[in-house]
Amino acid sequence: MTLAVHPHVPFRTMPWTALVGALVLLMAGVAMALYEEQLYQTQRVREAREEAEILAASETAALSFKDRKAAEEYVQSVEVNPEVEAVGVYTSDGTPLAGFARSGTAPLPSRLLAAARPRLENGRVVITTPVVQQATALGMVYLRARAEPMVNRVLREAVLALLVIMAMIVIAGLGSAQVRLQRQAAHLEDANRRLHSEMEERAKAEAALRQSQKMEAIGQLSGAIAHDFNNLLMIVKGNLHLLQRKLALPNDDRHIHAAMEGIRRAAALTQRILAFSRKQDLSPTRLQLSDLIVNMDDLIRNSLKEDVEIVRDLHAQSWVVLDRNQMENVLLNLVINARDAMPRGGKLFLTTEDIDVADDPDVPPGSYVRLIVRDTGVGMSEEVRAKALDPFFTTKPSGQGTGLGLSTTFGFISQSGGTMSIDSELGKGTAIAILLPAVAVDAALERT
Amino acid sequence: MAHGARRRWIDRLAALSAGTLAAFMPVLSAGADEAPLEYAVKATYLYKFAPFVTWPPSIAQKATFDLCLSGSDDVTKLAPEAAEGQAVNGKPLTIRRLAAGESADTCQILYVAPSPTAGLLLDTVRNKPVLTITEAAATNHGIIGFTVIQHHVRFDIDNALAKNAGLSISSKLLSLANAVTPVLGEVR
Repeated sequence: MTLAVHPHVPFRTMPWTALVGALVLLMAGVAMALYEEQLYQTQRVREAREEAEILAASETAALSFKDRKAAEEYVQSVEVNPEVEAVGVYTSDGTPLAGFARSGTAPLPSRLLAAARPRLENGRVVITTPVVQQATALGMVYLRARAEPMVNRVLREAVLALLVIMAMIVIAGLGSAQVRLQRQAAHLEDANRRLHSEMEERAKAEAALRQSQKMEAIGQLSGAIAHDFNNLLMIVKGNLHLLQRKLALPNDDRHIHAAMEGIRRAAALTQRILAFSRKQDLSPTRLQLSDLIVNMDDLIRNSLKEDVEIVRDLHAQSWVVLDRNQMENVLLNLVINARDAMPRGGKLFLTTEDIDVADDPDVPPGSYVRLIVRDTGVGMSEEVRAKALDPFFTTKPSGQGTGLGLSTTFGFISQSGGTMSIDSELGKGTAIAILLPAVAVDAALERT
Repeated sequence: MAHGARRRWIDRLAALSAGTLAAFMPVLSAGADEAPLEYAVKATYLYKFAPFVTWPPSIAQKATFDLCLSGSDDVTKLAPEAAEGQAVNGKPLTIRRLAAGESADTCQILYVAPSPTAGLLLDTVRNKPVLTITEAAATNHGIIGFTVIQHHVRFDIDNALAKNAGLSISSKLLSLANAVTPVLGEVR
């Protein structure tokens, strides 16, 4: 599995919530800075105005009597404040009486008659305030003060900016960490899923192994029993013949006939057990499954009721090597099973096809012919499906089925080098698939 | 350094506006012109004291503000012109020339020119809410007395007299005075 490669793009590594958060924070920071600046300016203007008003109140008498010395004294008291850049005291006719402008700064206005609104220009607060004593206008005071040392302001804003940037970095870090976590969680989940599927596959493989070991064991046991039993049956049969001759009984003697019939049925049973245990005598010949099915058409049709529709889909062209009679039995057996599974009628699909197997754990690679017998019947539960190939297992009422049909089929197919699988679902139907190795034409000819 | 710059600035301004200022500046140049300028300044001062003085409420309610002139000198000559059209504490300023023997009780400000009988008139309003102004050198001086120091018109204030007259003089004015006679028992 290859990991998806994520190019380092901030917008992809950061979730949109973190982006929005950072943006909101940035906007809030800017708004706060602007608000604080506004607040600071308002406060600075108020401070400067208060200073100017105090000076104006002090200068009344000095202005009234044009006492420059007294006026200078009051101005000097303001000059102590280093933020005040310039101060002017003007008489009622607009001429200056006292004042100063620090060196390197703009000069004082040469005349000042009317008061103006406080204003900020070039980072300086400019205040003009009238000098009034008991409703009598006596002159004007002009005051210009630095707003704040630039360093202080930059420092103040820098602290705020730093805080905002730090908060943004934290948000971005958290956001990308979350993305990394999510990606890791996805990887873990994926790995977990793979582990689960591997565990399931392994469990399936183990179950299949157990099943085949079980079949093998049962096959060996039953094969041995059937073989010995068959020999014993032959002894009984031979001695029965001798006894009939000795007693000069006719061939249609009722007892002899019944005994012989019993022996015949017992022999048939042992034959089927031997078939399951893959120890029956086969006479394989080269044949084509599609031909075989076409030739059995009447037989298949007669075994089914009229309410079952046969759908044939025969594409296989390859040859296989099989015991023709046994294969006919297998097919008949499967058709009868399908019929029994469809008590209210349905469809029977007979399909053959040539396939090439490349990577199937159960089947070696090569060319195969596949036969599928599928019905639309009642289907099987998983438990039934798991035991369907066991000998003497049947779902039919006692006495109607031997429980050997599918197991002898399995034995025969295995002995012929093929595999068999069952796919079934309750209520939907059952499909039996038989995979037989295809043979080259000359190989098939050699065998015949 | 700032101090020097300030001085230079003031000098420059003074030079620039010397022409227009000359008539109004209370700086008395020595020589023949001295006398008229001194009286012009004094005449202007008469009504300029008003904003720094608080009269009792009964007087403050009057619709007009009466500046009375008694006697005859350069100040009484120049005063009507200097005070023309002026308003004091939001009231129109009325200038009255007092005839001999006329009562000064209804005046808010009374200027008494130096004369042998000046003391008599002053005595009639001694404990009444009238801001009396005379020369500081007068034997019987008023609440405010003019004096000239280093070519500057200055004034003395007798705060004890003001107190007796029921007048309250602003500390701003007091701080500008050349000399202040304190109220009895008041530490200054």
